[in-house]
Amino acid sequence: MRGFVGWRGHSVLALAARLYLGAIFLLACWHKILDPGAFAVDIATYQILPLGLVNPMAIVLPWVELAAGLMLLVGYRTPAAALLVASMMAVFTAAVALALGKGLDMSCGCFASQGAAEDPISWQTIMRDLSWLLLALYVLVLDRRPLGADRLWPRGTRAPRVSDNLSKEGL
Amino acid sequence: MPGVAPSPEGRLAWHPWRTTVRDAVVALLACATVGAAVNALRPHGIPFVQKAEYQILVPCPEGSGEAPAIAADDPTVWDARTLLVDARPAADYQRWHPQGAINLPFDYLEPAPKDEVRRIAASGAARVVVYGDGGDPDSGEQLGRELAGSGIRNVSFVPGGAAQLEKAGAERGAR
Amino acid sequence: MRKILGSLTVAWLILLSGAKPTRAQTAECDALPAERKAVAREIFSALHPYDGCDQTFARCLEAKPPKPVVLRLASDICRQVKAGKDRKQVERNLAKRAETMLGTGARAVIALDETMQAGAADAKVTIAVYACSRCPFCKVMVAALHKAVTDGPLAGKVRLYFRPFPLKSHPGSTEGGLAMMSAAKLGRFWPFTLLLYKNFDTFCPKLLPEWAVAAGMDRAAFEREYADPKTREALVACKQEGVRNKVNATPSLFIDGRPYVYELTPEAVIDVLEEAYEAASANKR
Repeated sequence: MRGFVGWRGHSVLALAARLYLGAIFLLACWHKILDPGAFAVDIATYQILPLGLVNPMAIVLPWVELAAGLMLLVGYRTPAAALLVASMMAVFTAAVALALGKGLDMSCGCFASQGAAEDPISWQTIMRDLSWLLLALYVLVLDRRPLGADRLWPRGTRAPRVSDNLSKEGL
Repeated sequence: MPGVAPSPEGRLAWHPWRTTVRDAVVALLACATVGAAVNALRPHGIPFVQKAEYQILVPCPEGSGEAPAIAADDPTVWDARTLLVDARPAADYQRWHPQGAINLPFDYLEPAPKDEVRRIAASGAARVVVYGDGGDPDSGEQLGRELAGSGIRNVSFVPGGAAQLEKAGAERGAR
Repeated sequence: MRKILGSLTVAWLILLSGAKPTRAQTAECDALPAERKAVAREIFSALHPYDGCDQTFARCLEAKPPKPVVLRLASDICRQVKAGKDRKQVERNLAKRAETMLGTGARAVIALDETMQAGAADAKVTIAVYACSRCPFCKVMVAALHKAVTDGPLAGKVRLYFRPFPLKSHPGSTEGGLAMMSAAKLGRFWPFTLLLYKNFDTFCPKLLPEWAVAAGMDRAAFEREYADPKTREALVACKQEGVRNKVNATPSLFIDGRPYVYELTPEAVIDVLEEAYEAASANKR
């Protein structure tokens, strides 16, 4: 178990996952930042949030996606970014599952939301979101020393390095 | 939640979860501030609390495209690279149809079978000309619009339907 | 004596004409916040109502008393301003409302089937709705209109006619349409249709006979009508009529044969219908 968890290759695999997730989130957040009104309509279409919370969500969420995407790409505070991404994917998966459970068929063209018409939700959407959730969890749990900004400019509290222990032992 | 103590290799320190969660919360708050500020300053920002209900429903469309009319005696109708589609019931098709025309009976209630539409799309024809019963509404026009809505390009219909086509065909034969 | 009266009248007229356009005498406009009121005032001084008065809204609202249709339109404008619409949008909406009320093209030919009718038989205004049984928007619109004409603000004023228009893109629309036609044949159209829309999310063609029984029909009779080829022909005829009338989305509404092109919300439709009723009553006098 320790061998698996401590395997150095995780950082490389996690890098691939990070780049993939980072790119997805950057691409996804762009149109939402440009047109929060349309995004608010998309959120309202799910009929899950009360009206008063729709706009705050539409205003804040795209920026969280942007920040998390950038942080994952450059490897800055990677665990936190992975936590944000995992939380968002969990929320999205739940929302899509709720909407599908209600029988909301967004592909019929009857909804004002552009997103609903172009990318209608289905069980494949849930599978896709779950796989992204798993990737984010992988980065969160198993990427011990993320490649990137964290490794180049580590923060104060870091894992002690070999040299520290060696110097302690008087070598 | 303190994790495992560092091993001699030094690489197995567990994530300091508290730090991670704290970082995430800080990032979240920073994004909320930035988002709210950008929204307040931009010219088309949305209100922070929406008062009026969002209009999430729009009229459900029939999903048909545009199919222009083409005269029955137009030479392109009789061109070899034109695919003629008969929208009438099979019996009418059997009674008379121009050479090379295929039959795709139009139904007002059920959509055209997907494999038939795919066959038309993969036929390699330069254009598709649909003709029907020529009535009001014209089944040829309706099928043409349905095919155009399904993504087939260069679809037109013959006003007057099979009757006009038969007349034009006879005139061509006479010439 | 007459000279004094004359000069007094002239003096009053001068005083009145000099008065600035005051706030509109509608509760909707009075309740607007200050900056929205300014937008509304600007719109009132620029736009003209399409009926009831030839001048700008501002001038028309000064009349004592202002015409009801002018008040109604002013209220509607204030409602739009409150929702954040700008002048261009309000102007466009007013033009669409004018087209709905006055109608430019030929009247649509609609077979008004009494088996699918709701509301008073002698109502002055008719509204025909082309709707699909599997369209979520139709569910909202038809239910709201039915309530309004049976025991709401339009009771006794407007007659509602339903025209089935099954959309090919909606699975189950044909089955729903056939079921509605069968219910109409058996005289239980509205109970069945309202039940169908109420159970919108749990629709399944297999459940239709059960719902028919719940709506007061005999199961065997319903299934007989449902399987009858004539029912399908009638449904197709309804759809063909809609296509002839250029219907390509549902719900599509026609008020006295004029297509409805204004804002498609139940509130706006009811408002326009009330205006149509007032206009019809005024003409009859």
